[in-house]
Amino acid sequence: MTQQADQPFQQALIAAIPNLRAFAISLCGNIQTANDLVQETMLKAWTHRAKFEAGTNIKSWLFTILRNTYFSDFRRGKREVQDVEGAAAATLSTHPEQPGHMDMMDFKRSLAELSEDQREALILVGAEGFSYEETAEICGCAVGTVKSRVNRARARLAELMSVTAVDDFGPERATHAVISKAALG
Amino acid sequence: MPTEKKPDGRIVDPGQKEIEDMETGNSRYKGNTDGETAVLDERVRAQLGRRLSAYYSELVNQPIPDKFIELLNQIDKREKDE
Repeated sequence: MTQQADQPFQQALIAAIPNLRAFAISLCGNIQTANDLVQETMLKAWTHRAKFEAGTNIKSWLFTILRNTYFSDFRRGKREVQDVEGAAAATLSTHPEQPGHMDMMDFKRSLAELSEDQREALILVGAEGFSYEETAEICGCAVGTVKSRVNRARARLAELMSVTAVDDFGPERATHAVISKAALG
Repeated sequence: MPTEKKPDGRIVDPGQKEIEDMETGNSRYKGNTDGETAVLDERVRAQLGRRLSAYYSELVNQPIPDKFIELLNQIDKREKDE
């Protein structure tokens, strides 16, 4: 590959950094580790850039590298929940008046309670907007598995949050959290 | 990617087959009682979606550490020097 041909690749790599980092933080629960993970991902992507097929989705290619790097080199047992709360507390001290910060802390705590499989599927589909098919490719599993994980993640989050956020879900939350068998929209 | 050829000659890729199975209640999706195919109430789902978006966009909008850009510049320079 010539240097000229590398330029769009490098630009795409830079453009993807904020999302790679957000996904990495969601996986690691620790900002420093997440930054190291993104750096490692960028180095790998650059080293293997000749393997990237032009015209295919570079974002999902990069997410796949990050995800595989995390599971092979960065995962250290249980996710560091404490650090997530520490980060939330740091935000809190900067914006003590900000409405909804308690909600956000609850949400982060609940997110940290999910299994890794469920959290990554929920983030990729629900936050990154990858399709079920793209997410299945990134995670190396079947499409049905992704759907199942996303559904379980949502159900579990609703369950966890209803404990602390009665106002949001209303007194009938238990009824609402129960689940009807229907096709996923 | 392995594909499956239907009796009528259609080629079905595994992902598509998975969806068809789910929709038609075929195979392993049948008799699922642990809530796997269940869906949340729309209101709860929308609420969760808003929080997830708020959580994630806060992360995406954080400034990029300078070291990432420096890293790319270093790689660039190294390659040009070679």
